[in-house]
Amino acid sequence: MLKLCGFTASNYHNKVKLALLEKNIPFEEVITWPSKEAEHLARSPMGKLPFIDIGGETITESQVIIDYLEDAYPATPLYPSDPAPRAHVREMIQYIELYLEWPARRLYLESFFGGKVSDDTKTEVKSHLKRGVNALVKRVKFDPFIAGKEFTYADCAAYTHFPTVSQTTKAIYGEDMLADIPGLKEYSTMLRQRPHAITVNNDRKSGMEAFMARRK
Amino acid sequence: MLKLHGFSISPNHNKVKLALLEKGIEFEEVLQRPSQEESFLTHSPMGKIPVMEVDGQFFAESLAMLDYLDKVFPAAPLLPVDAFERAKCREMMQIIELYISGAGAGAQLTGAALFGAPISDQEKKDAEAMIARGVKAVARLAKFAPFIMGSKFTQADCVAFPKLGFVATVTSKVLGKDMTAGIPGLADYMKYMADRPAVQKLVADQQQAMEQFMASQKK
Repeated sequence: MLKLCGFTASNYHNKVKLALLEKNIPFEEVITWPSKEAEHLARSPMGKLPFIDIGGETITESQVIIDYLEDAYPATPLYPSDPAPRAHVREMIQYIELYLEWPARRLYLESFFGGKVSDDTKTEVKSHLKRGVNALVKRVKFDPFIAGKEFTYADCAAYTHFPTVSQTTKAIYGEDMLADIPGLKEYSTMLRQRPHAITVNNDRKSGMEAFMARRK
Repeated sequence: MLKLHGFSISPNHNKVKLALLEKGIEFEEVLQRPSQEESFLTHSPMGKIPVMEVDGQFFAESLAMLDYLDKVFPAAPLLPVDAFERAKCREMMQIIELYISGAGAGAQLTGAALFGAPISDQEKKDAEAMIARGVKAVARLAKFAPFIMGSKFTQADCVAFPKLGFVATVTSKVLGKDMTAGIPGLADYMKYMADRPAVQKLVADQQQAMEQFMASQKK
């Protein structure tokens, strides 16, 4: 059976997990922690999580895993079948991850882990985030899903990354930088009520304690 | 006809251009620099290039474009048929994109190399550490047999050739050493690739654009 290796406090882990659940793919979740040990690097060359294990062979990078799931399990597709809307879903995922979550990540040390981030970094990240938000505003549909009428992988990404970015920007800048995206609040409320999203979120909450305890 | 808006110095532009050339898709290249003009942002919401235009519809993000091209022009596919092998190609692309030439380290080094933008010692150190990890990961996964992921030319080659070539230049200039030298077999691979007609066209256009760019910077 396909194994999802990672930890449930991770937004990238949860993005893949939500996709697996939404696609009804049977899987086993193997709690795995980040490591630079050779044994781990043999399975995940950048040492990153999550990865999936298929009969001893591994695939890393959440976006790559998602594309694999779509290729290997074509029933219940989570990409549109037409190439153009499919490309726009992938584009949307890039806006959410590369231009929002990735820059926001530079603030997590302070927003989540009690460390300190320099004022220069905060200013620089804020300008990146503004661009990311502006890009997203131009493309989101919320009809009712982020890229249109169907639930897609872009919703899996939005579901796990938006709360992280919101919390972080609130903690660092005193304002939720996603709050001005029209329709986002209603959309997020709707997503959170999906049964699989509830499962992912409950596991996240219990996994968060274990994660914080390990960091100490 | 399909239009590719961008300019030939950009490795992201060249990534898509190489796929178009290798697949034998007819296209027109339209000169476009990155821009934060509102009129451009409607086509490319981050203001980035390249942008692809097909029948009046615009597409941003080069990896999404590569995927699109293989769906719309299934002849001369640039991904393996097997789902697992496909994933390994995409994993290679993602590692090169994110960690070697990526959003964090890559942008600062590029700014320093091309525009003489300031870069602190700490930023150089961080960039070097990230790229070093990425280089090790690529070394672990690359096949060079003779293509980066095996016996067939794939999307991973469309990413690897322009991106690793660019990283070699940029790290030599800013960090004083070619960070890609840590990938065994890469030098031979780059030479092998350079013999392909599509790559020759790519490189010739790039050199011409680079000369024009350098001349314009001197003014």
